[in-house]
Amino acid sequence: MANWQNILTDIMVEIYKYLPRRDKLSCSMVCTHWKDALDISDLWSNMIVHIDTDLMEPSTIIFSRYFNKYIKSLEIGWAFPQRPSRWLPFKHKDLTKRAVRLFNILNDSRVQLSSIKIFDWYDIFRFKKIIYHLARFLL
Amino acid sequence: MSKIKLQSSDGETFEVEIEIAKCSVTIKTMLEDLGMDEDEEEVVPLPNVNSAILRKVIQWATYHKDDPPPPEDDENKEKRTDDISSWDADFLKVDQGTLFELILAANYLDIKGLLDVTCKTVANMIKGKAPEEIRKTFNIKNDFTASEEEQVRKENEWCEEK
Repeated sequence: MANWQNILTDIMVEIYKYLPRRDKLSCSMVCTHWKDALDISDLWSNMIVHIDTDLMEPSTIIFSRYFNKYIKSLEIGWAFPQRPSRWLPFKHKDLTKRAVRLFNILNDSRVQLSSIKIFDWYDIFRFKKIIYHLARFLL
Repeated sequence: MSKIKLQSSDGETFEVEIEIAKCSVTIKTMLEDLGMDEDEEEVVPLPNVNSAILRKVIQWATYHKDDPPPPEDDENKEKRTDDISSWDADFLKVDQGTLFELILAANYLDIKGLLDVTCKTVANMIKGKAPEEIRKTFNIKNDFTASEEEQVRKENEWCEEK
């Protein structure tokens, strides 16, 4: 009888490497062992955040809060930098709020990053507050 | 081509080309450590793998024997799950118990290619599902206490607060 509930932690970690954060969040609610298996530095050492997609659901912010101690490098940018703003599924005020929340978590946890990469940025003026908080975080 | 015998947990022996058996790092190391002479009729016992699973593993390793070694993991990228070859996809059309046993065997025998493709298959079974659906799919019991569940709910709420 397959016992997925008590699957070896090493194997669960291998499976997690193939899952985006939102699916990891679902897995963390499946059972205690699956939740505990997420507490592994390998899974969190490099954090890639697409502001316009990853912040649409809570997993990025939740996991940044739980596992910021493991984060060694951060890559942040937009999945669809060319899209006109009406395509954003969120009002940009709300999106800015979430991005700021993420920076605050990283700031408060005094996470020590060895590298940060900023890629594909969206309209800088429309989201200037995000830029401001990113700059503040970098200082 | 020299051959080697592998014995499953239930006592069945399989004769396999040595090069195929060596795709398992565990067997390769065993042969090197024990200094097994390739000409001798040695039997390698595999107490953690039953005959049905060992047969599948050998079938997989035989098909993939000429594959280049799998690339080193790039920890920095989220790994793809949509690149399973059609042969592997067919090979892994098995019941969930068999899939589970194959993962355990790939892990124990240390066959990276097989572990990768079985883990990808499981990841694909998880993707897009809610926790309750995942539990149903894998027959898992919710073992959180009411207060732990409450805490998770609160944390999710915290994220949504304005």
